Amino acid sequence: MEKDYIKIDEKDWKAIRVEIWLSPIIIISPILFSGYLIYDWYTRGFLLNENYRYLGELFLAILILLPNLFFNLKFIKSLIEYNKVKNRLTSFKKQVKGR
Amino acid sequence: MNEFANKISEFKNKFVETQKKINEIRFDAHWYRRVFHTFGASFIWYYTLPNVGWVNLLKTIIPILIVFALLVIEILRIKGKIGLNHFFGLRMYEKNRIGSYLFFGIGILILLLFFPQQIAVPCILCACIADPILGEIRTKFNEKTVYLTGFILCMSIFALTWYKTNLIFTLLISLIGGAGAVIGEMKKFWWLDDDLMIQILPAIMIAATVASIQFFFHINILPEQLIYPGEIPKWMM
Repeated sequence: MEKDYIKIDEKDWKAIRVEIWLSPIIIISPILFSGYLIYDWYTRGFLLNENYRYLGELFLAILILLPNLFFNLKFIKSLIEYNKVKNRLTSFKKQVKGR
Repeated sequence: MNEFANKISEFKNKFVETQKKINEIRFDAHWYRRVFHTFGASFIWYYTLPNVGWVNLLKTIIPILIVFALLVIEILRIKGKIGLNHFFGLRMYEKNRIGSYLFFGIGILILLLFFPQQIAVPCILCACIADPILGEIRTKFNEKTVYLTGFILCMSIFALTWYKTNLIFTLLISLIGGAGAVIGEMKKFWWLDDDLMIQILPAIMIAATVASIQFFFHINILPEQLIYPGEIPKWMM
């Protein structure tokens, strides 16, 4: 199977826009969910001496949080990189038009 | 005049070069796909929703509606009614086929609706956490290392989520779950995505094991649930 991505034409702004709009949800919701699980483990498990029952929620929170943080950082870095190059191109295009 | 023409051509070359660089970054959907996978773990939030009549009804209807909407969008894309410009990060083999993200959604939907939480949660995690990690390992190591790591990783996920049952059964389920997830990841078909297989195959294998042990030995090895539903405020009852 060809692993290359579909090359969309130059006006790919619509596709990128979807990506940028979805980014906050994609990045924040797993972190929020992990936070909820840790909170639930702490309030219903740790404080009420029901640690064993609720330990699974803590495991799950860590299991979700760590990979999410790693991939989120990489993704945000790539978005920043994209923006930088896009801005460079825009100013370059303006320069060309000015001439 | 000649100097001016030279300058123009130099400028043109620079422009083309920059455009090329832009395109390389523009189409790099690698991290987007990875993050989309790990985001899928948020759907486990489903189990924290309270067990009340109308919430239970919504818990069934909303996931079906989401997957149905995605199915309609995919059909329209394949038929050419929606341009490819609206979709970011699709692979070449997904051009004339349903996208992986829909297979991913169908897998999660089947697990949420038809499998007990104890089986569904680790299987969803295999697709959301193990799959992107294996994808990254694949870029640096050979296939053998990928599958060995995948097996260990998926086994650990099952062991962590099945810690409430007897140790022997935890080990048994971890082995079966790890093997099922790796086989699901290994077998790649054009028409059936590994994002679905990595979730459903271990789920079926574990469900069959649990049912067999129940049938032959009359022992229920299914542990207590992992996530406890939240409480609903009285005014919402």
